[in-house]
Order: sequence, then C-alpha cells, then structure tokens
Amino acid sequence: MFNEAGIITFPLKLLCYLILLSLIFGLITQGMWNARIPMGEIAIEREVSEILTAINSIQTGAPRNLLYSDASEGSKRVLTLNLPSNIAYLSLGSDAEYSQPIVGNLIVYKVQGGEKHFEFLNINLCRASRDEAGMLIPSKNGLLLKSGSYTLTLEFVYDPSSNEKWIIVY
Amino acid sequence: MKMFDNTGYSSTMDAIIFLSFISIAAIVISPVLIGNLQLIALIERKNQADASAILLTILNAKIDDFKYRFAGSQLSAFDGSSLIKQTSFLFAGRENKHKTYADLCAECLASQFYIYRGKDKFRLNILTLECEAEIKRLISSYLDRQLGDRYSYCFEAKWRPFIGIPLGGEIKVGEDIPSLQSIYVEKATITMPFENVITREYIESVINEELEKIDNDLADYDAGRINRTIFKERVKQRLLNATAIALMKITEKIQEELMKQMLKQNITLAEFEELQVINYELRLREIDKAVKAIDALGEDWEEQLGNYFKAMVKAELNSIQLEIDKIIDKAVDKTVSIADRALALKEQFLDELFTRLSLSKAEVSIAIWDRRI
Repeated sequence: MFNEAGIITFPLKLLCYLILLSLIFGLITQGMWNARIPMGEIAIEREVSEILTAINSIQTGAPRNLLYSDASEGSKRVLTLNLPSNIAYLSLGSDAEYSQPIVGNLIVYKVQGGEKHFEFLNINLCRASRDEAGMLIPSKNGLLLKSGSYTLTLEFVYDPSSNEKWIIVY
Repeated sequence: MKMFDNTGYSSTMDAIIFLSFISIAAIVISPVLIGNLQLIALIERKNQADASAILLTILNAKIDDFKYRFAGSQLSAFDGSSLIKQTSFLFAGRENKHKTYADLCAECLASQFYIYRGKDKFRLNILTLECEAEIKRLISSYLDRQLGDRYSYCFEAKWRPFIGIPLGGEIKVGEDIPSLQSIYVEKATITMPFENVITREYIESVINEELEKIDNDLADYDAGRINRTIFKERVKQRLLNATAIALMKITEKIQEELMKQMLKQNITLAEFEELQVINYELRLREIDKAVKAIDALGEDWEEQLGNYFKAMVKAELNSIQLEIDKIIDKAVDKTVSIADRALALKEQFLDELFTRLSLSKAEVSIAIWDRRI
C-alpha cells in the first residue's frame, strides 16, 4: 500500500541537506562579513567623490575676501553626506591619527578594520570658525566626521595679505 | 528521428554568459551611476558659467538714457505730483546718455558717503537717493530679463576705500543669499571716478621719519645693546606709529576726494551746508556712542568728520597689530644684513598697508542660485 523505501533515508537526507545549507549560509555570511570593508569603502568613496566634485567646481567661482568684515559671499556648495555605520572616520583637511595633525590640502578616510585612504587636493581645506566680529574664517583645523548624516557647506575664501585661498567647511 | 533537439543549447549558454557579464559590469560601475556625479558636475559648471556671463554682460551693457533729479526724493516728499516731477526735472534733472552700468554704479557709489559702525550704516549724502533708486531699478529689470525664472540673484557693488576706515558706498539688488543652498558667485572690480592721490611714494614720504628709526633699533639689536623682546617691542611701536600717521593721511585724502565728487554734482559747498542736509555733529553722535566721548567734534563740519575718523582709526589700529607681529618676526633673523632687513621690513609694511587700500576700485559681485530646488 505504502512505499516505505524513503523512511530510512529521509533523516539522513535531511541531516545532509541541513549541513549543506548551513555551510552555504555560513559561506555567504563570511563572504558578506569580508565584503563589509570594501562595501563601506565604496560608500565613503562615493561621498568623497561628491566632496571632490564640489571642491573642483567651487574654485571656478569667486572667493570671499577675508580682510573685509562685510565682504560679499564667496562661492558656496551645500552637500548632504550619508556616512556608513562601519566608518572609523572621515577627516576633511587633516590627518586625524597624528598627535600633531597635518592640516591642509587632504581628505583622509578609514573604514573600521580597513586601510587609511588619502585624497590630495589642489587647495587647503579646513573647518570654519568665527572671529570677534562673527565672520566665518579658516580655523586652520580639520573637520572630523563619524557615521551618520551631515549637511555641510563649503565656502571659497581668500586672504589677500597672505595671498592664500582656502575652502572652509561648516 | 532524434529524441531531443540540442541545437539551441550552445546559443542559450552564450546568451546567459553575455547577460552575466553585463550584470557584473553594472555591479562594478553602479556606485558611480547612482551618485550622478557627472551630471552634478555638469550642472555646477553651467551655473558658474552663467554667473560669469551675466556679470560680464551687465558691466559692459550701456543704458541709453539714465535720468534722475538731484535731491529728487526730497522734492517728491515735498510734493509728489507728476507736474512737480516734470517741472523739477528742468532745474534739478541730471541725464547721462550711453553710459555703462559699471560707470553709473561707480558714480552712484562715490556720491553716497556711507559711514559704517558695526552692522549699522548711515548715509550722509541723501541728495542722490533718487540716483541710487534709479540705478537699482534698471539693474533689477536687466537681471530679471536675463535670468528669468531659472535663477534667483543678488547683485552687489561695494566700495571700501580703506579697510579699517568706516566709510564707503554700496548698492544691493535682489534677494538675500540663502544659507542652505549652493551659490554660484562671480566678482569683478570697477574703476571709481577718483584720482589716484594715495601713491606709494606719498605714503613713504609721510612715514619715512618713523621708519628710519628702525635702522637704529636693528643696529642696537645686532650689537647686543638691547635684547630680542625690547627690540620687537620698539619696532612694533614704530610701525604702529607709522600706521597711525599713514591712516590719518589716507583718511584726509579720501575725505577730500569724496567731497570733490559730491561738489561735481553742480552744488556749491555753501549750498551744501545751507541745505542742512547733513547735520554732521548730530548724526555722528546718533550713530556712534563713542563719539559722545569726544568733547568737541569741531565747529566746521569737515573738522567734525575728520575728528570722527581719527577716533575710528585709533580703534582700528588693533586689527593691524597681528599683521605687524608677523612682519617683525622675520626681522629678528641676524644672519641677514641690517640694510636688507630694514628694506624688507619697510616693503612688507607698505605692501600690507596697500593691500587694504582700494580708493580707485570697487568690487562688483553677482551671486545666483537655482530657483527650482
């Protein structure tokens, strides 16, 4: 009446298939775990590319003169950055890992467990600070970002007395 | 007869492999495609090019007929009827034909006589208000026509003859610049209708006596008669004295040039005072509490203004001190001869002073931003 041939082999087959499935899922998980660093780097790279595009295009405009307290504004770009959760840091204008940070024409980023990456610029980049008159000026310090969403404004400024051009970030 | 037809097997495999390669390629370039970076870069370039083009065209464009009345706003306040307006054009009308926007902006800036204190400003010459209103109307209409619905804009022309001396002129047309939007800015300089009376030779002759004393200080320092701290303090004091003298002379010259410009507008000095458009003492005391500390501003209005600017210049000397410190730091290097160091110090000091001077030029800027965002 009933074909009972599979009764004996079924538990064995189930065990084998479960082992095979676990192996496959294990390998996929391991693969994804290994891929998180390059994936994170790709995500940051995309954001950094956006910053680099803004830095290049902002320089085709006119800068704000830092000597005048009421100077007309310089070229500005507003960016929204979404940094992944596994980012160690994204440092604009400085290398955050040195005790005496190098400030100037570079962007440094690192994913947790990954290597440090550098992007060198043709202009100095730094965080903005306010002087006594409330005007935004270069602070000569970098800006350190961790994971999360940020809205950054980049402004092109110029100091005629030192003949230096900066991009300030706030 | 065959049981199975295998002829399509090979081409199906080719198609699968082809699609696999396409998919892999899509995965590899997807980060770039998702970001739309090329598109963003292209749009930014175009917006910047539009800003540059519009500034260039407006500065070179000519106005066929530019008319205003001297003291027009005051006459309108007295009687705003069109009959009075037409009649008053006969005796107070001014007409410029085929002048560029740049020239008209420069003339308007030179006639305003604004005094600044912090974020406040105060216009001393109110007789050319109609001139300013007319140029603003024309600029606004030109930019509206050219930029249309695509961009919002802010056009500014600013003249600050010397950084630290709180007087000048300004024209602003358009909206306030938004803080959270990308702005495309272009700037240019226009020539002001002033003679270049403040030359390097003139300033050198004025402060030469003070600067020559630095040679002795350098000799004393090199011979070890004074230490580094005393040397730096002495040189700093000499440079501050030189700055104060130079600023006073520069202020006097700027004031003279401004008055010449205002008097060019067919009004005599006597009429200017008689009209009592500018009650200097009252207004200066209104705009600045610091002036109340000055016992007597002076009888004559020119003297009043001069005294006011002197008080302002003293207050502004502090901002120049930092730059002076940087210059002095280079002068303590004993490996270079005294003559070379004295010359370098003098040159750097004059360079610093002239970086702040813009008597004959004003800055014009246009900022545009996308209206559709």
